[in-house]
Amino acid sequence: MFFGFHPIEIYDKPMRVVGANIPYEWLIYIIMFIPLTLFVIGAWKKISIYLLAKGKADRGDNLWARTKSFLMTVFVQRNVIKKPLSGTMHFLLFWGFVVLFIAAAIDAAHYWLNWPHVEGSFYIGFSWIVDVLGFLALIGICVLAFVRYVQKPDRLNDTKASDGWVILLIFVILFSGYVIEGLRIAAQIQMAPNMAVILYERAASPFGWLFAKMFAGTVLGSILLAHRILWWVHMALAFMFIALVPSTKLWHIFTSMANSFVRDLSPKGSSIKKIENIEEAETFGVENIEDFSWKDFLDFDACIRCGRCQENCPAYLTGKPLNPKITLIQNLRKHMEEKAPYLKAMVGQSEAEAEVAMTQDEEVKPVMEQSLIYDVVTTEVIWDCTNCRACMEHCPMYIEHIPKITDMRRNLVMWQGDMPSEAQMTFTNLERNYNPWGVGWANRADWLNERGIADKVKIASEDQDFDYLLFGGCAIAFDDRYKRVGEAVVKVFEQAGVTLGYLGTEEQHCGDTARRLGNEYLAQTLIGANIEAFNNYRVSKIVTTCPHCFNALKNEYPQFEGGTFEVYHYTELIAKFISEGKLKPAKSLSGTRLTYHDSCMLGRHNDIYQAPRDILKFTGSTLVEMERSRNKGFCCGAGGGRMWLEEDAVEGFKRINDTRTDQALATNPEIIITNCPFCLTMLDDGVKGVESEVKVLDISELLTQSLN
Amino acid sequence: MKIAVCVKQTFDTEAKIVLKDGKISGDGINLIINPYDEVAVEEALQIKAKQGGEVIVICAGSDRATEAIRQALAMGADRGVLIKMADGDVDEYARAVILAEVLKEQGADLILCGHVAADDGSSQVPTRAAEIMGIPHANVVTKLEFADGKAICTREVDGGMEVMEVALPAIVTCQVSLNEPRYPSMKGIMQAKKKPVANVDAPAVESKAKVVELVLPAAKQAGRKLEGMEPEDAAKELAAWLLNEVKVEVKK
Repeated sequence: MFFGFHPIEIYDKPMRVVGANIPYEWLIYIIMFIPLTLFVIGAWKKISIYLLAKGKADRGDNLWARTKSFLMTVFVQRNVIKKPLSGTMHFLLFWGFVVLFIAAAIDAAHYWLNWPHVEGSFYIGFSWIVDVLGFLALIGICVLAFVRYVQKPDRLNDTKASDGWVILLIFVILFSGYVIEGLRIAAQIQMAPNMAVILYERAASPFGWLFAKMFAGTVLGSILLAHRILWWVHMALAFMFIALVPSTKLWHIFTSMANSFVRDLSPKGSSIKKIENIEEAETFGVENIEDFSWKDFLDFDACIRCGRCQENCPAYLTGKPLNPKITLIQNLRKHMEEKAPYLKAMVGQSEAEAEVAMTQDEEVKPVMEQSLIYDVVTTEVIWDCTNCRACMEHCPMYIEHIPKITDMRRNLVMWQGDMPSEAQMTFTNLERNYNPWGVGWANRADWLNERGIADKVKIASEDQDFDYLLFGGCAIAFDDRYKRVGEAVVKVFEQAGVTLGYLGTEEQHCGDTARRLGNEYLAQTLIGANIEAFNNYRVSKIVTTCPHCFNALKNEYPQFEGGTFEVYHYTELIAKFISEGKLKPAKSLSGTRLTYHDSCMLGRHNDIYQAPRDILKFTGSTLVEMERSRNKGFCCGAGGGRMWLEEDAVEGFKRINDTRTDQALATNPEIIITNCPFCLTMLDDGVKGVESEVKVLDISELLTQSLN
Repeated sequence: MKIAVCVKQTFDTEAKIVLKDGKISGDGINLIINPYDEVAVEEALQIKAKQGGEVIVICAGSDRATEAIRQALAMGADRGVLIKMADGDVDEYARAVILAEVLKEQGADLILCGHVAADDGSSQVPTRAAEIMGIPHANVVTKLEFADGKAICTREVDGGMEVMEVALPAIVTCQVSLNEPRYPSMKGIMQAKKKPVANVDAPAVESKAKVVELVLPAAKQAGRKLEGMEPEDAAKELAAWLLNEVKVEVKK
């Protein structure tokens, strides 16, 4: 049995004998331990790198949700499939490999565990599935090669030779499999006394049957010889595939499984984590690659360079140094790999010993002297990010880009003290007057009088009998243009019969700008002050105007003690008032052509796409969508604290806000609608820059036109 | 080079000033380092980075003034001296005398100050202190360099620039265009907690001048629009307003 030779035969029932016609076939079951061993060694090498990470990531909770995420990501391919062509092809390739793997495992089990042959109608069914899905995988790999080498979308702009070799390897393995099957069936057809006894193979292996037809006129001896040779080639390549998994892009098979399980399950808008016990912290953020967590390390390896981040990144699309794929994740991965051997050597040594050893080794120096922040990633890349979350939204691997950028900003700001001077000014303003404009904090409630609506809002220190606390944010109080939006929101709530409270001068900046610019310490101070004020007045329901406040209060404040409240954006509540009939249209704005800009904080960070559109529908106006809208919306350029930093246009490109303005104007609107004070400013600047007559309004302002 | 930087703790420039019993109420007012003095601290740190040496921060005031010193230490200064005195009850003369005494003790090669304080704006103390100490001074400096043990100071004068050379030790007062003060990192703040701050009692000096009264400027009036009128009526209305309310003097 073990060392036996099985000729190709005609069986009395539907079945096949794997390894028939192959002398020394048994060797395969011994040799297979070589690639398996190489795989295990390679995999351990990778895992041991992840263990070098010193940062913390706690991902052991909620095992059921994690399992679900794993199943949906891996077996349903729910992320990959979002790109229709390459996604579907990958889906086919994946399932082809799954069934082929199962078939191969059954063969091995037959050999090692003495499992019986698969026979009869079960054989026909099982073989059919493997045959068809395997062939679909073959089509899949061909189409994927077509996409990469003929279609050449910009997202695949860093194609490497190894990408081609992997595609070729998969193709040859799959294709040779069908040729071998065809040869075997062709031999059986020639041996069969009549066609009927072998006809079951046409049902069991439809594609193998097609290949068999091609060898119909060939001499039996040649068929058998070719079968033997190709069988060994096929096996050798399959083993090579297994051995190569850990050291090539094929490793993504496992990083994707791992990442779908250990991904961040918290709300999308809370990807930035609190620094615990910041008063006692000894370092801040990430200065060296090993300061990242094991999840970050896993992310670096999980990046398959599909470029879905890149094609949605406003920084990349306006020519900036930041490219989430290349200049962020891939550069980090490369540095991790280069530094890992030296980090491993340092394990067990004291830091001082290690430093001496490292600096004496001439070869080590270049890697060890490379600064993560200044050489590997660069500060331009770190400050370019607008935190728009497009990369994270579209990454099929759940790579967490924003927290990595934030970790490096934290180090630059709180440790190196190195930041753009505008950021410095912003921090000073926030520290002294609790708003980024730096206007005296004592004037924070003055806008109510300026807009003549002081009687419509209850100041919390005087009267706590209100339905919702209005967390106005800084723009409502200090940006003259946005004060009008504040007035509109207050008036809409009044019409709906819903009362608003307001903290007035006790309200401080929500923390978003400070936090996303890397000043976690300042952010925590501001967040703490607001939480204290909310709790002083026993606030439970909060409505915000600025989507940055909304995200901070809703998703980030719960990271802090006593910081969990019911938080709404005004668009959510107004859409609710409309559906409840609390607001009645007085005037239809039919015929008004407008386009709607999804702010990143409301959109990708909180998945609120429909409520604002419902409000627009209520006004009777005509909405013309931009090409990039909803979760593909293009940032205005002001997120991630960039509102307060200068942006210079790169040659050949426009600034982010001007680029977005062009996209909006391409829909030929009368009005561009926004829901965020930063977007409003950025798009207004953009429209003025091209001397367009198009108006930029907040959605609440449009609504008041139809209510009055 | 041993550099002493004199800083004053002032109200935040955006603070809402309220008078209570004839004095400025300190309620809810954030105190900061006088922005011009911040420039002086930064300049000292930059000189130290190039030439080495020590940066000493000196501030006069109550215990609260320690915050200003700590902030300068967080920026990178080496040690602080707090001259303990009650807030704001001595004049510029007395302050200069007190400061000169402390400065003499410290024996710095260079003394840097802001050229004016954002609160009272009197611009007197550094100049007076230099006179008392008998050392040269350069005011409103926008560029500071050193050669042959002398300070080469570029300073703003009416309609132009003046470059002057002063022998050290000297007092140099800084203009904001000299540099951009750094934002203290957490590392700086943590290190600042461990840096020494000496408390010195201010010698008793009699003031020569005293503030008699503080008055807030009149509140800004909202603008008035003359709308929906015939030009003729609008002109009449405007003229009446100029004569009766603005009280423009008309010479005939």
